[in-house]
Amino acid sequence: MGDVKGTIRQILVVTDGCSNVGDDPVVAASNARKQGMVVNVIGIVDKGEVGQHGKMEALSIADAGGGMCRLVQPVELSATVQMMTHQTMQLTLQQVVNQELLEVMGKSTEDLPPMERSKVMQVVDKLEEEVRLEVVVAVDTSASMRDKIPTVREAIRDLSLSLQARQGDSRVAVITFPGSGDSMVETVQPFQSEVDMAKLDDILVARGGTPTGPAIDHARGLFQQLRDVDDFPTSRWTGETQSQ
Amino acid sequence: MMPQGTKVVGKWTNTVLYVEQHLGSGANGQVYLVRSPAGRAAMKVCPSSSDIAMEWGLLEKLSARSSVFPKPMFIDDCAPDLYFYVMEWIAGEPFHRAAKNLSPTQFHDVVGALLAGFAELHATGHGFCDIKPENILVSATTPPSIRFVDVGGVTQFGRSVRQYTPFYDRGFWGLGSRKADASYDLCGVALAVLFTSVQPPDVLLGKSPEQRKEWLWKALRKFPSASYVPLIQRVLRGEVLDALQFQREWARAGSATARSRKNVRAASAAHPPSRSTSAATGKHRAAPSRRLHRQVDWTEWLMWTSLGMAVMVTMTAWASFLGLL
Repeated sequence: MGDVKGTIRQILVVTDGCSNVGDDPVVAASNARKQGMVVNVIGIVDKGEVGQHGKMEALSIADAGGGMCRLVQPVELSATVQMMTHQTMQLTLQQVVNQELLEVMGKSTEDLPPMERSKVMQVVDKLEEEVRLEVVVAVDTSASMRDKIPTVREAIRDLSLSLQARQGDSRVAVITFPGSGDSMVETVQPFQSEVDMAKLDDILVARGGTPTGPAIDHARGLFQQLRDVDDFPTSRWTGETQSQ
Repeated sequence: MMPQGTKVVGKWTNTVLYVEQHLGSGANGQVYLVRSPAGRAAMKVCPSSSDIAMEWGLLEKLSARSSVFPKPMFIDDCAPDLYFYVMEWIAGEPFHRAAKNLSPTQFHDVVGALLAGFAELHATGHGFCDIKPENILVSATTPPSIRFVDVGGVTQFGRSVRQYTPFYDRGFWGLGSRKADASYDLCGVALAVLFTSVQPPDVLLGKSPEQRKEWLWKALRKFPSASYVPLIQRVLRGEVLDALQFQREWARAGSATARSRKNVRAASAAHPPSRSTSAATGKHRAAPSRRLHRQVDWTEWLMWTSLGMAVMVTMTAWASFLGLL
């Protein structure tokens, strides 16, 4: 979280194979993590296998990005996206709360008696509902993804539905890699509070390789842009000093 | 999985437990039947201490005001990494399995009791949310008893639903938001009732909400007890806002079924609840003519009896007349 306002930033990479163009995705993920983002990876396994190499890479990206990695069948995609977003949010918040506890009491949550732990978790639960969340979904659009794009689209719609139900502010951006034409990455939708399904319908499978690294870098850039503008509140200044 | 006979000693309470049997798997852990010093109980075990702590908090909060969920006994852990809580053990059969063996009247009463359970839970300001038949335990006693298990999905009204099962989720079918409120749960109940007759196929997971909805309305039209169809449809559309209203209308729809079952052995011509919807009108249009037949029934019977009597009397008269000759 790092910054004062408390925003959780996640990058979700949905892919079905290995990166083969551009910078190392593991380095990109670790750079993102350094800036307080979490990188999750979902590998879609359809009939065949992602391959040993793809599996290892997915794991290393998630590891470097401080997130989770799952290999799933297309039918499980939607549920996995939800589960990952929820669990990594919970984990991030728990880490923050743990740090505070260590500073204040010299104990981590695990050291507390279970009854007290339950109270701490209720705080984490409330935070998870109210904290601001920003997610960039990075979709692999290399040739092999052709049949899976409709499922990915439904999963993104579904994620958007869950985010809209939150009490806290949520923003979603969608990018594809490779982009259409010559670009390695394309922003399908910049950060918005809802997913624009009409724009998602335009997601096409492109020719070319799988530039996973550049996609993660691009996502990191999107957060940066948003942060620059959003650090200034839109509400009118009333002459009061903010307490938080 | 812990084998039978495993001894668990709580680190904080020093309570000794013996594992008797594996009861089931939840969304985030396992449930075992255990022997505790206080008697047989259920133990929920999670690999994550936070899930256990969170669920325990919910159980405690709910048990103060409602008894639909198991009563919490104690929370503890066991070195090195076993996190658990112990609660009341609830015997019963999961809703979908129980539904198969119930008579229509019993099924009607079970759903009624289920809705009463939801009314009780909703009064605490929480939704069940992760509605699926496995999480609803039925004891088909008279009156039937309904209990909920798996508190993991329980969400305060107004917050977002985080743990759900797609086929029982209002958002999945494009029927509304994923915010916890009473109608979110009622929608799940209506779906669970509907899915006792048909199971949604997995291919729907890759379809758009519009296509899913199309499948749903088609399945609803085929629901065997037609008198419930208009009500189920209204609930799915979010027109029934609280559990008590659903319960009242369910009772009404059921008495209509019972009446029609008595008259003819078909439930399809039952009395339609006040606001029937377009999809169901086809079935109701056929109703009046059939109902006319049924009203004729007793007069018909009277007519044939009197006719028979007349014939008998005439025959006896003739016989005695001829016998006299």
